[in-house]
Amino acid sequence: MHDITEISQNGLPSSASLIKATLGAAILGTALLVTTVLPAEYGIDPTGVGNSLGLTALNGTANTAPAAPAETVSGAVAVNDTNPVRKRDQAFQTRTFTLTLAPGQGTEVKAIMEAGERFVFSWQAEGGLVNFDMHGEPPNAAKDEFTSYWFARNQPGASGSFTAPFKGTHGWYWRNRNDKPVKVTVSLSGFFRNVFMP
Amino acid sequence: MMLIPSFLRWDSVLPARMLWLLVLPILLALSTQTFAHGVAEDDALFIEQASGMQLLPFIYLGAKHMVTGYDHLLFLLGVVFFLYHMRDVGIYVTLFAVGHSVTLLYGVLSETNVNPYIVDAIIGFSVVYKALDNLGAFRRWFGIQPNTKAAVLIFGFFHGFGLATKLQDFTLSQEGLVGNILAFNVGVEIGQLLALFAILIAMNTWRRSSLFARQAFAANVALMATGFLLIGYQLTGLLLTT
Repeated sequence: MHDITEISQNGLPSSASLIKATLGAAILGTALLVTTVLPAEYGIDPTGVGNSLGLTALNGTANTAPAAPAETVSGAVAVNDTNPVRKRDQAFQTRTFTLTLAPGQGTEVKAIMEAGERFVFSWQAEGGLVNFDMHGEPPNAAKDEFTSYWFARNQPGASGSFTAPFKGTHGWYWRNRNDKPVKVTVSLSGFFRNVFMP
Repeated sequence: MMLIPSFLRWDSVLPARMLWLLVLPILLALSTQTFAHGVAEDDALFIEQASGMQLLPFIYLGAKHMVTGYDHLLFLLGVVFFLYHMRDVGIYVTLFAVGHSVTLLYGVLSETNVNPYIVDAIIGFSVVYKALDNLGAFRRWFGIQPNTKAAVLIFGFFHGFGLATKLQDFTLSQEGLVGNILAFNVGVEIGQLLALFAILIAMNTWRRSSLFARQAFAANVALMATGFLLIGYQLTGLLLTT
């Protein structure tokens, strides 16, 4: 047999040692998963170790967005569309909001959008770092029914472009975890029905 | 002395040292890509925009994908771990190659949609399985020895679906598709051979050590742990997307 018995002086390992080995492997694998991989890839950090290792800051840049359609993965050219221009008849709008977050406070800014509409955005935090979750939900969604696009902790700002994967409200939730107020200024330009603060 | 068959001794594998010089720089250069499993962003853009047959780029992409596909490499490591005869290595690696080539080609060309998280979790399980097999666990616990060649072939099928799902995310140009996918498959095999050389050179060096027997047990436990980690990671992805 091409296994450990070929080199082991004692033949097959004992059942006890194999059970210990398997359990040890399962525990080690789970520990690494939960402390390093999940925080880095998904921002899921049940033990808080990922955050203290600074790994949760990685989340959002890895290619892991669940349910992200192929369009947003490639980003450059729409599927089945070789034309770099996407024409829109709707009005082009620009909105800027400045929000002040008291210590511990969280606030949302949401854009009402049709599927396929897009905007470019940029936001900055003044006075401290913030956690944010860029997410969206369909109309009349239940309280916890939302799709998270980009979650990260302790960020000074972020920029990018966003294409609505479905009709609904899409935007940001910022949370100020510092002990002093933080001001967030967000600007978005593009195509959306409206922008509001829920 | 008795542990290493004579025709596999270091001195009889003279070109092996030279292979290190060839393989090591390539692997080092690509090591940064290892963490971006899946298809890297620039490559993704290329695939989306490529039209017509572009054989050499697809060969390169296939090789790059295999060399950076740590779940495939971990399984390969498990398979060759206790294979001392090059003839056996040839047989098992060919079985694996046949397995993943069949499903890579079938998966992409037939546009069969399998859930990538489930497939990747099965690939993670293949690593756990092989590690346990290496430790003789099935014989010890169940008194059976599942056919190792069949296992490698069957898990090879799943690895191939895993390779296919990475490509299916993209709209591949219909023109030249068959040629491009065949080229990609050739690239995967080239990448597999490169990785295999590196693995075998490392294994041969390690096997000469008198501590190998004890370390071999621990190494397979570590291999099993990474397999569990992969399963957990993929299942988490599955849960988050349903």
